[in-house]
Amino acid sequence: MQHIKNPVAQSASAFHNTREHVVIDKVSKRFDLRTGSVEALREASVTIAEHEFVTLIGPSGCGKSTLLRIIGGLIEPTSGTIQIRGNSPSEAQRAKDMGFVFQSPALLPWRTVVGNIELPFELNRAAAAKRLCSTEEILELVGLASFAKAHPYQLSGGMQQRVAIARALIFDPSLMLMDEPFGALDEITRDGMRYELLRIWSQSKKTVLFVTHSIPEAIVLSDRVIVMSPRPGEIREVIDIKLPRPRNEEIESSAEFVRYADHLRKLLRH
Amino acid sequence: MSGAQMASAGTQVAAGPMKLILGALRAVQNLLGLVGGLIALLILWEVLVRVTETPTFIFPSASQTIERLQEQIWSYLYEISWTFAAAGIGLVIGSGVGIIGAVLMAQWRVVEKSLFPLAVFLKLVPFIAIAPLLVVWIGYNLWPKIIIAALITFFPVLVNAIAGLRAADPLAVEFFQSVGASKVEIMTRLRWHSSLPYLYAALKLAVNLSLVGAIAGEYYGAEHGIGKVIEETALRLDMRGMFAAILMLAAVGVTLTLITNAIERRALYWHESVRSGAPQ
Repeated sequence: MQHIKNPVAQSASAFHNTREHVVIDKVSKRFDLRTGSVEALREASVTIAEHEFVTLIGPSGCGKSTLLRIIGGLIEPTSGTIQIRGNSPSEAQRAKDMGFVFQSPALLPWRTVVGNIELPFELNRAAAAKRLCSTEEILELVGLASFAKAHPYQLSGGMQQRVAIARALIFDPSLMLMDEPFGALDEITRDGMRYELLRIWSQSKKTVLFVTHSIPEAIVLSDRVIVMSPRPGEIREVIDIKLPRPRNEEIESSAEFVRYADHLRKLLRH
Repeated sequence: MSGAQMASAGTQVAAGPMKLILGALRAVQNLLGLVGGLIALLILWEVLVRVTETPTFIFPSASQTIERLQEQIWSYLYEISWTFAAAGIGLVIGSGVGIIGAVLMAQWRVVEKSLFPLAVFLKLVPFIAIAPLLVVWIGYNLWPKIIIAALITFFPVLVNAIAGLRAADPLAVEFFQSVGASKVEIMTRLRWHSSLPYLYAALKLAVNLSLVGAIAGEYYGAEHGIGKVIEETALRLDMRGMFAAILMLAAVGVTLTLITNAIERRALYWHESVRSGAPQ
């Protein structure tokens, strides 16, 4: 699973000449509630390239989680289409070509770390037969090799979330969907997890769609940031982040970083 | 990620034998506390009866009761085994139907909507009150007791199991869906485990309820059973015999509770209620 390439070279080519991975075409979603219907998402269109790291940022209620769930095949759009390498979300889901990481780790507390990571295989024996990477490799990748037999309650919040990331990586999916995965972590752990995720991403070469509320998180992680606005949920702007890779903590004090942060803050203030 | 947290988790994982010894020590400590409490209670009972000079036919002393229990222990054990059989079979039937019903209701809302009101209706009937009717219909055998025990254990198990099955982490459910798990897999691998803390709480209650049901059934007519012993000794104003039977029932009840608690601790090692050592 570890297709280790030069991360810097990768970032330059990310959205210029590589193939399309996810094509989102005029996707809208209405929720019918008892009090009337709510337009959660209006005509969202964007194309995400292979190996690209894209963040969705916006205030609560801007439809970013809704969009992620539609891409993940967990809910159906009211109108519009999504294509994932030419397939529908539910086809991609069946092909195990997506890994989902949620805001809370959502681990099964009665299972060990290994039991949790291997859970998807128990739910799909066909995929287990042709697995590409061992559990040990994945544990190594997320830095939990010595905690294989621990139970979730013995781990810190950050470590639990790394187990959730490992669990999403087990099928070696080409697409990772992450819904505020660090939202429940404290600020210090969260800072560290950013770079941890970048390391995992640069080693595993996934396409990542990442929902966040945090401006620094979006800038540090992304090739592109999709800024969304609420009521109705719409894509307001898509910003290229042309910071060099690999990135580390120092980047957060650079002049370019501050410029991106100012720009995003202004966009989000409206 | 704090290094200290990592290290402490690491030692917890490594220290298996140490944990076992500590666990055994704690169990001994708990048992000593329990025995000490019991002895204190018996002494208090003895002293109170002697100081107040209460007549034996009203309230026999602890020593008299224990003496009588020693004489009768084998016949009482035999009688209580009938009560146990009725309560046990009733408990298995009642909680079994409750669990199956809960799984079906949690799986399909339609089943819940059509059957749950019926279950609530069943709950409203005071089954202990219809014990004489069951005895008239069915006779002095075990069945009336089994039916009462089953009927009164059914509802708490059903309600708790439904609550537990519904209490599964919604994000974990979404994760199962995101990897294409079926409804049955979500039930067997996620909802069932999530429901166990609720189910054990209900079963602990149901164990006691089933005994109450069986004994109440025996009051209204039985060939055997500790309920029959209590009823007969009451008629004869044989208070020593009656207190001996009640004392024995209490001892059995305590033993049962200890056993169910031990099973619960083994099965729910991962749950907060067990790890925090909450009272059970």
